[in-house]
Amino acid sequence: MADASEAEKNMVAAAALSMATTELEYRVSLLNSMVATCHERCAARPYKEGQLSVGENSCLDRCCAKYWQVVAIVGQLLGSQKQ
Amino acid sequence: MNFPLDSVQDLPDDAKMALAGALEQMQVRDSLKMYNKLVERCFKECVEDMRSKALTGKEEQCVSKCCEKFMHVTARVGMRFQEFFSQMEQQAAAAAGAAGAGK
Repeated sequence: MADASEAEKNMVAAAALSMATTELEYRVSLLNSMVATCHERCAARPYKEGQLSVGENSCLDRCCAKYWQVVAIVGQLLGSQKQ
Repeated sequence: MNFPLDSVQDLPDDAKMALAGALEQMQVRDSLKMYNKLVERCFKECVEDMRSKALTGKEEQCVSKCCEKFMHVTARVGMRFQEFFSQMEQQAAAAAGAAGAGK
């Protein structure tokens, strides 16, 4: 009997681990696409200098805020569709 | 939709270690990917002239600025990303707490 519950515990732990790994991968992928998209929109070309100007900084902040709102909206829509 | 990573605390020790290992591997993989992406990006944006084997001075400068700028963008976006995520987790925790208290 003890073995069965041990095996069950291991299965639950393995499932939780796999979920956590997947969630982490999702977060990393989200960060990467946020960086790529906002860089495309906001980094001034031609590259005059390495430092970010005040305008670029504001642009990045706004880009991130909007991107995040889109993440929330899409998340809600997908969640409501599943139901 | 989001699996709260705080509950990672509840995992048994060997699972935690496995998760830490997976995280480290993900970081290595991710930094290698970023290296490649950055090279590709700065090459595409800066290098046009195929008349000589060596990079021109202008191209070299462009590449350095391109890299530096991208690093700064990554840092700033990463900072905002952390803020948003922790804000969201706080809201989720507050909502969960309110729901629990309501019952």
